[in-house]
Amino acid sequence: MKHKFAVHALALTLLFCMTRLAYAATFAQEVRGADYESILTAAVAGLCGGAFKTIFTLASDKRAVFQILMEARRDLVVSFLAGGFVYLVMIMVESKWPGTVTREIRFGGTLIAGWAGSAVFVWAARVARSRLEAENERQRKGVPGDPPTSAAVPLESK
Amino acid sequence: MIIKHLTPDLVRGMAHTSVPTAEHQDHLEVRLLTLYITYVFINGLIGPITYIFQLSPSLLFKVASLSHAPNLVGFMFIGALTLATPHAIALVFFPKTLATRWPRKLATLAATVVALTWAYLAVLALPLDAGPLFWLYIRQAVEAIGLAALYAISLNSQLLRSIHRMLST
Repeated sequence: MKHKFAVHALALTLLFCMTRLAYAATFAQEVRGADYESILTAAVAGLCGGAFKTIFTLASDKRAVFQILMEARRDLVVSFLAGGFVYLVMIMVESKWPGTVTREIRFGGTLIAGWAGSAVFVWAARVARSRLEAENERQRKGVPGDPPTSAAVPLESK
Repeated sequence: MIIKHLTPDLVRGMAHTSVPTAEHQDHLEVRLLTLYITYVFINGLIGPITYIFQLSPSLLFKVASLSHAPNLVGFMFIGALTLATPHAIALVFFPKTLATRWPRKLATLAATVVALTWAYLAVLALPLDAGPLFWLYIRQAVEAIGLAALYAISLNSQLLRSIHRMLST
């Protein structure tokens, strides 16, 4: 397996974070223990994406698959990690702008992530790098940054 | 199997029948099972289409109408039925042309579309709090994914065989 350590580390992180993710996705913590609904949605969509990837790889003329089970396992692991990552991003978006991530968007987003697989991580790395470069450029030009959202007030000692 | 004795009727009948060899029998059974699986697949598409478009009191209609796009689920089922038709026609009427790849590719696409539709229905049924309804729909999606995998493995084996033929000549 390629990137063995990274895969195991990411999978373990997702496993240990899963209940925390479920709690973070909902504000109705007193009503229900956790938002298993969104987790199930994302899991179904991500696994569908991974399975479809394997099936279309098998059906295509451009790739010959020699070991079907290994290929399927690789696609499922990658789709699990990519879907979990996109699910986390969706929770962030939901907490910043509540009400944006509907059931359909969550389903479609994790489906595409499961399908795209490791391309999701490449895309995220590219976005992060371009953001960092833009920030560096801004700093180099000396443009003043955003004002702070809060500051400490020095209090008198009695 | 031990046969006690041969009657004249048996001997006369055997003179007019063609006995299939074991290989021929395997071939025939695989063909019959493929026919039956495709029949079951199409049968399992006609059911939901009828429920969604004709039987509005049904549970499936209620779940499908929870979608933001009206009739999306029904038209996905109809599209899958259209995509699965060429393979079924080839199986029944033109079995010599089964080595052609595009009908099986369309059937694979049809099965994946069906799996996607059932998974979407399961997700739509989640907020109803209808107990095991989610798992009932997921069961259907898994079945369709298995069928798509069968078709895809067939296509892949054919590709491997043609590569092997190129290698050996």
